[in-house]
Amino acid sequence: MNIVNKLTVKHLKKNKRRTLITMIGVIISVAMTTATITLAISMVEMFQKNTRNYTGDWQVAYQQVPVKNIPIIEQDHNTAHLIIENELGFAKLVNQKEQVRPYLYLTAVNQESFNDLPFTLTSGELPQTPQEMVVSDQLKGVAIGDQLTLAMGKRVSIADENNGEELANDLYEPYQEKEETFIQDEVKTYTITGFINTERISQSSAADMAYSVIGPLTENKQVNVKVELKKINRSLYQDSRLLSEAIDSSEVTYNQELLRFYGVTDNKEVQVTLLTLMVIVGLIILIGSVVLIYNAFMISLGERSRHLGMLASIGATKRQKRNSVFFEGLIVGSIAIPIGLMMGIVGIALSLQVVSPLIKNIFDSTEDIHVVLSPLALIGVVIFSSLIILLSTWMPALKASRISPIDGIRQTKYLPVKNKSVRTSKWVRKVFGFEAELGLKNIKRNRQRYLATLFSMILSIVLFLSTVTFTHVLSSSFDMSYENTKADIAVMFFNDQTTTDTIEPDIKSYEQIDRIDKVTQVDSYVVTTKLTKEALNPKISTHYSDGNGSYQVGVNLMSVDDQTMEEIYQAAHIDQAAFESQEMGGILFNRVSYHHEASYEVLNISNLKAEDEVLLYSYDQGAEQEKVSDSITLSQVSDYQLPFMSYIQEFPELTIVVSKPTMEKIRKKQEAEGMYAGFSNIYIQTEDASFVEEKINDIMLDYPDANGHVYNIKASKQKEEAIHFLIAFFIYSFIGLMTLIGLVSVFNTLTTNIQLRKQEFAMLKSVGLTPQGFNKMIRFESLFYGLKALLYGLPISFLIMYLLYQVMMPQFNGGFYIPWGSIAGVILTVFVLTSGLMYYSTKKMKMASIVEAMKNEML
Amino acid sequence: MKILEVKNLTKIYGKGDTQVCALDNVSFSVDKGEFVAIVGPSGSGKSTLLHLLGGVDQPSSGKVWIDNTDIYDLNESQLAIFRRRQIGLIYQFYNLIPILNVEENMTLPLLLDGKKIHQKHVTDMLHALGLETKPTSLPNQLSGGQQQRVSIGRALMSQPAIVLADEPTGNLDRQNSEEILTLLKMFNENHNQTLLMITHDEHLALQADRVITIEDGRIMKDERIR
Repeated sequence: MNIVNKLTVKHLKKNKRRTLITMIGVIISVAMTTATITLAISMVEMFQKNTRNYTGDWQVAYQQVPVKNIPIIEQDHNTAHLIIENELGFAKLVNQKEQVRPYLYLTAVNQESFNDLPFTLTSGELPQTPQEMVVSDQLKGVAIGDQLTLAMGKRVSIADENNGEELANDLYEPYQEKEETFIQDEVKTYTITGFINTERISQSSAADMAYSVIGPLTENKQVNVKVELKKINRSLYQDSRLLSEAIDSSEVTYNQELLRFYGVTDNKEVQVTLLTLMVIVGLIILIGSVVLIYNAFMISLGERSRHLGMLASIGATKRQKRNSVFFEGLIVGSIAIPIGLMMGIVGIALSLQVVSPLIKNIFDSTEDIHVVLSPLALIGVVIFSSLIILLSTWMPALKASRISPIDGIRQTKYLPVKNKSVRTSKWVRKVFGFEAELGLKNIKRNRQRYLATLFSMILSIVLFLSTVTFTHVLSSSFDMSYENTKADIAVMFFNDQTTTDTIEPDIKSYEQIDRIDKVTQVDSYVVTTKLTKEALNPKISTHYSDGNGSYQVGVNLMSVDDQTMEEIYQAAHIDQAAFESQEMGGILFNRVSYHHEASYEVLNISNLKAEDEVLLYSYDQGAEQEKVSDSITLSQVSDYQLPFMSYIQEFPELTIVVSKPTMEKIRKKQEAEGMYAGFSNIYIQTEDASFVEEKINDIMLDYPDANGHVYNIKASKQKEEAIHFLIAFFIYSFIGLMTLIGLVSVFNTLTTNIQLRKQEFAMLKSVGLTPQGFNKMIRFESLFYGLKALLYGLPISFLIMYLLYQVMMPQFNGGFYIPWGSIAGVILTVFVLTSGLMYYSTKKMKMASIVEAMKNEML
Repeated sequence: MKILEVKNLTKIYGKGDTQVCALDNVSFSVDKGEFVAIVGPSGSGKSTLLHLLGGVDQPSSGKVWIDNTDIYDLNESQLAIFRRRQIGLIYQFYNLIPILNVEENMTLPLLLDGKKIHQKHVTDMLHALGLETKPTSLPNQLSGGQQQRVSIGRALMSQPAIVLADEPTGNLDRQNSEEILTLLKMFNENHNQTLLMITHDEHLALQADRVITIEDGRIMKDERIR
C-alpha cells in the first residue's frame, strides 16, 4: 500500500463514526437492491412452479404429429423432454354409481413424462402398462386394484340445431345433460394403480382425469407432442414453426401461461409495465444512494484537503490525489457491499416467511414462495452498487485532484464562503433576532452540503407522502365495494322461479347448521318508472333525462323474508300497520351511495313523499312501446340504508320494499306476459364462509339446471385485505429503508457541520454568546432546514399525489385524496428529526471548553 | 482605580503523575488605562493566564475581579453576557466568523447583546481601523493584517473594561505588526482603554507601560517602564 492510501485508511479510522455511517448507507442501498431483485426472482419462480402444476412442464406443443416423426423432435438441439400424449378421450363408467362428473377423460402418455404432467400422485403407483391407469381422487366408489370397465366413445349433441354433431374432444367442454348423448365405440378394461390430484379439474368440467401408458402405435398414428425446451428465449416461436412443418404437425401451440413468467411473451404491455416498475425502483434507490454517498465523500474530502494539500506540496501527483478518493470508495464498498448482500437476502427471506401464506392466497398458488438466489442477479447487484459508489466518488475525486499545495499551506479549514451565498434578508434579524440570522447563514454557507441535505429530506418527504396516497387509493378501491355489506356469502339466482322454489328451501335448511348465523332472503325485480324533474334530486337528475322532459329511473322492487322484514320495521321505524294495510304499498328507501366522477356521496335520490304513486313501466312487445304495468303507492319514505343494499351506484335506483303478496302479484302478472326478470338473493352471515360455500355448491350440483351463482364475499374481502397488507408491507419496507438512507445522509451532514464549527462556536462563546443564545441559534438552524425541506417537499408531493391520482383514476375510481394526517406527521417528524440531530451533535460539544476548542485550532 | 484584580490564581492541568501546574498562585492588579505586556517563554503559563482573565477557562483556585465583579462567581450565562460587555479578546489567529462580513464581525458583541447599533460609532471604528472600504467583505477576502484589525474592532466595539490580546501580531509581518500595535496604543491613549497584551516580542513589549514576566507559572518580574 502506498503512502497516500495509508493516509486514507488512517483518516477513515480516525473518523470512525462517519465512516460507519457511510457504510451503513451503502449497506442499506445494497440490501434494498438485493431484496428487490431477489423478491422479483422468487415471485417469478413461484409463478413458474405454480403454472407448471396447472399446465404441466412444457413450453411448445405440436398437435397431431405422426408417430414416425417423433424422433425428429427428440433430436432437435433444444429439446429437453417430450410428453407424448395419445388422447383416448371420453369414457363412460360402466356399472358405476352416480359420479359428480359423468365422464372420465383418458390420456395415454409415454412413461418417462409422468413427472412433467400436471398432477401429483396421492396414493398408489403410476401405471406400468397400457392396461393400467391412475384416476382422479375425486372419482367415487373405486379403489386401487379395481378393474374398471370403460365404454370409450364420443359425446354427441342432441340439441335441436346441432343434432348429431360431435362435441369437441376437449376436457373443458362443459356438460349439457339435456343436450348431449354418448355414443360408445368400444369397451376397455383398466386396472387402477393409483389416485392423482390434479388442479386442472374445475367445478364445471364434464370429466375426471385418468392417465394410462401409451401402447405400441402404428407409425402413421397421430399423437400430440409437448416439448420441454432446454433454452427458453424468444426464438422458440420461430424455431417451433419451422420444426412443425418438418414433422407434419397440424398446429403448434404454446404454453403461454408459463412462457409469460419467462419473459418470453408476445404481450409487450406486461413487459413494459414490469420494466418501468423496475426502472423506477432502481432510479429511486440510485438517486437516494448517490446523494448519500456523494455527500459523505465530499465531507470526508473537505476534512482531508489539508493532508492532500500537504502531500501535493511534497510532490503528490494529481493521479495520486484522485485515486486516494477512489481508494476510499473501494474500502467502503468492499466492506459494505458483501454485508449489504447478506442483509438483503436475510431480510427478504424473513419477510417471505411472514408473507408466504398471503402470497399463496392472493395468487391462488399451490406453491410456497421460496427465496431464489440467482448468481447472475447478485453479480448484477454488486455491479450496480459499485457503480453507485463510483458515480458518487467521481466529483469528490476530481476535486481532490485539483487540491493545490497552497490549500495545504493556507490551512483553510472551511471551504471559501461567498458573499452571495450567506446573504440573508434584514427581516430575519428583526423578527427572530441575531441568533436566528446566524443560524440561517450557517445552513447556507456550504451550498453543496446544504443542497444535498435538503435533497435527502425532500426525497424522503415526497416518497413517503406519495406512498401514503398510493396505498390509500389502492385500499379505498377495495373498501368501496364491500364497505357496509354484512353478508359473508351471497347466492344469486336469476329469472327462474321454479329453481328458487326448490333450491332455496334446501339452502335455508342449512340455517339449522350452527355455522350459519343468519340468512336474509331477498327477491328483487328491476323495472323502470318515469318521474318529473322536480321529483328527483337535482344533483343526479341529468343522468336520467331522456331529452323529452321525462326522467326514466330504475326501480329495484324487493321483498324480504319475514324475520328480515321485522328487523327493517324496527331499524327504520316503519309503521307496520299502515304498510301492511296499503293495497300495492311500498316503502321507499331513499338514501343511496352515489358515485360520480371521483367523489362519493350519500344522498337522497328523490323528493318523493308518502302517498306518492310510483308507476312501473314495462315494454309491451306486441305494441312495441312502453306501458304502465303496475303502480305502487308509497306508504312511507325512509332514510334508512338497507344493509344488503349498501353498495355504491353510479346510476342509483329507487329501492322499494314491498310485501311478499304484492311482489307475488306483480310477478304473476309479468310472468303471464313473459316479461318477468327477477333475481332471488340469499345473503348468509357465517363464521366459516368457505365451509358454507362448499356446502351450497354441493347443493347446487344437485340442480344442474339452476341458473345460480355462489359468491364468497368474505373470501374476496380477505383476499383484498391480504393484497392490501402485502402491498403496504413491501411498499412501507421500501419507503422505510429509503427514508433511512435519507436520514443517514441528513445525520451525516448535520453532525459534520456542527463538528466542523467547533472552533467557531468557541469564538462566539468567547465574545459573549450565552448558552441560551447558542441554543436559539441551533434551534433556528434546524427550523430553517425543516422549513426549507417542507417548502419544496410538500408542493412536489402534492404534484406527485395529483399525478398518481390522475394515472390511477381509471383503475381505482378513488377520489382525490389529501392525507392531511400524514402531512401533519411529516411536518412534525421533520422538525423533531432535525432538532433532535442538532441537539445530539451539540450535546457532546458543550463538554469541550472554549479553551480546548481554541487549542484544537492551533493544531 | 483598579480595573482588574487577580488573587492567588492557580490552574492545574491533569492529575497524579501527569499533573502540570500551569499557573501557580499568581496575584497582581491593573489600573484603569494601563497598557500591560505579559512576556515569558512558551509554556510559561501566559496564555493560561489570559484565558482565565477573559473568563473562558475555569481556575483551579483563586479569584479574578474585573471592574469589581468576581467573574468566577457568575454562572455561565451571566459570564457570557459579562464577556460581551466588559471583555474584549484578540487572538493570534483572528478567529473571525467566516460567514459574517466585516461590519457584522465587528459588531458581534453588540448584536449578541441585542443592542441598538449606532452607525456613527461603527463608521468611526471602520475609519480608525482603515477598513472603511470593506464593511461588507467576508473574512476570507481580507489579508491577515486586515483580519486582525477587524478582530481589534470587535474587541473594542462595546467599550469593554479591559482588552486582552493574545499574541495579536504573532501571525503578521513586521510592518503589519507595527500598525496593529500603533492602533492598540492609540485606543489605549485616546480612550484610556485598559489593555493586556501577551507577546514574546521584546520590541513590542517595551512599548507598554508595564511588563510582567512569567516563568513556570509564576510572576518573575513586574516592572513599570513608563
